Amino acid sequence: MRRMALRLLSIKELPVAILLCSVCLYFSIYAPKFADPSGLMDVARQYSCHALLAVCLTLVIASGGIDISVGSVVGLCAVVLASLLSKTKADMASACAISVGVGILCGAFNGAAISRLGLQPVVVTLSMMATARGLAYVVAGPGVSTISLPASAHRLVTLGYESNLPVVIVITCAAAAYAVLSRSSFGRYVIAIGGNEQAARLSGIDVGRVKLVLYAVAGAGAGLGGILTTAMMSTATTDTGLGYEFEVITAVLMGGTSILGGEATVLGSVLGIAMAAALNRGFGLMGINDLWRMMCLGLLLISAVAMEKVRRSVLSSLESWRQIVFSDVR
Amino acid sequence: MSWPRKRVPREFPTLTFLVVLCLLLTLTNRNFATTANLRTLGADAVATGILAIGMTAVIITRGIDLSVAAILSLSALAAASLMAKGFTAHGAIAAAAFVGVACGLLNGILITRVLMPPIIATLGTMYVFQSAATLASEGQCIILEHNPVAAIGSGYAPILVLGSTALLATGILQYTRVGRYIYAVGGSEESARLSGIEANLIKMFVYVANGFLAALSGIVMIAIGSTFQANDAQGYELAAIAAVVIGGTSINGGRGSVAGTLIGVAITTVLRNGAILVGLEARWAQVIVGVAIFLAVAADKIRRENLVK
Repeated sequence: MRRMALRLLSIKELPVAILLCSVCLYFSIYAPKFADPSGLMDVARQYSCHALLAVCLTLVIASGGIDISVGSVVGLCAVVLASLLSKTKADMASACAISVGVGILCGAFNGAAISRLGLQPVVVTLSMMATARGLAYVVAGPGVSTISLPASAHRLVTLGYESNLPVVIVITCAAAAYAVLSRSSFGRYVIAIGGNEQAARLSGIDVGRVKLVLYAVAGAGAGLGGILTTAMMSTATTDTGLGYEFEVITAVLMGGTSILGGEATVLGSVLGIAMAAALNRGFGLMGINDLWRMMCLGLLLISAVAMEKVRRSVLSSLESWRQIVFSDVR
Repeated sequence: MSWPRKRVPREFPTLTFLVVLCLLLTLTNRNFATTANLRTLGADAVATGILAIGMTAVIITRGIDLSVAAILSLSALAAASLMAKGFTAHGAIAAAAFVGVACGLLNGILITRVLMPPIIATLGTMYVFQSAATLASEGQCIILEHNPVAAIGSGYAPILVLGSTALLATGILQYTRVGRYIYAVGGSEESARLSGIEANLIKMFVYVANGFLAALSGIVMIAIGSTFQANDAQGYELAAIAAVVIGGTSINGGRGSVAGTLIGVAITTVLRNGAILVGLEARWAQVIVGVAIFLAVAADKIRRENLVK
């Protein structure tokens, strides 16, 4: 009995999976259109940017860091892409490449300030949050808050709004992140740094480089996410991505990745985003004010961390109980 | 080194920067040093200034509070809606203070009892409080035709409120046991706890005080403007954090002062005002604040490394 409890408790994704199932069940009963496949696909497309960010942030948080600038960087990249397409003659591929490049630059700056200067991730990304949002206003131009994509970019809009490409991209990235985290040496370095940075450094891991790569990847994810969002909405606004960091961090922590670092689950983060998406669709269908959803997410974020504490303490007490039993047997 | 390092106040570099900035603006722009402009500057600085004083104490304990602007909105809306219904100033201020303290208490409980990292706890409560404020007011702007607290908002009264808050905070931080404990907890929580300080109680005090100051700041905003809307204080938490960090309070805890924070508030306010006067548009303001936060943190880090050497 205890052993089964131990095994169940050591599944990090369990709470979010149960929560997701019950929320979906509730909505399919009380909002009949909830389970409509094309509607679900719509919301999946809509949340592809969030999911991408969640996958990247899982790695960042696993290393004991945090990046609260991703939402602003999404906004900056979206505005850059839309301005390039509408104001210059740039073709789609190069505009997308530049926009991802801007994201990588922002991320690499964060990473360099954190790993080379040794500054705290919270403040560095806080300053990037303000700077990137400000730059989005600057790029958009005076008094402009919405930039529509020109007719020539219709292919991008079709890809983003009608095809399943965004979902495919997300699944690919999530699979890649899962593979990196569980199968590669880089993934083990990330977990090691999150577990104990000093020990990781002493055992010869180039902590600075790993962190630099992680934050640059988060920037790249934000750039790609900006493209997906812009393509889906067929406009970019200076407010694009506002508050994404909150939903994404909530999803990652709800999914079972530890805020203290050293424990990560990509699957859990994706389930967490699915939870946020389900709430969005369900609340929308039931006609409940969006702010209730925000409040719900805030409470979920707080309870996710609280649950994690409880899970850990129960786990460690069960673990010590088992050790006692085993030593007796021996 | 012959220079008596300890005698140079930590605030000296930032103060010099502020003076140089003001001098430059006065010399290059004839609209800067006018009474009207300075009065606008003062009114702008008061709300963020009061927030920044509370934030200073929080950051000295090595914490952070992203929810202050949301607490401000919630408590100011409580006060404004009560006054619109004909409550007296005293009743409304008491209600605002109650809401602020309750929100601060929730933050404190999450951080000291649930042991959540401050950034996550207050990110969560920020959305909870802000949504609650917008929902409760239905996004409407509350306009007070007879403003019972107008006395706090006219003439030099707001500056007086800011000044007395700053004096009180400095007094507590520098000359009382609680103040010394606040620095001790930020310096090293473990050693503070081992030397018998109730670290959790100190942290709780800091977040509750921060909630109370957010409410006070909200009252001052209503007093000056006679109106309030749920998103009026959007981004104020960033402005407050920027002011604290620019003022030389270390984000690693244990060091900092209210005087430095006031200089930080002045610098951010003057920078924003100066940018507009010089002809840069308002949209650059956020870039400037973001870069200023980064530079201040980097400078603090370099200064600390030099001290170690």
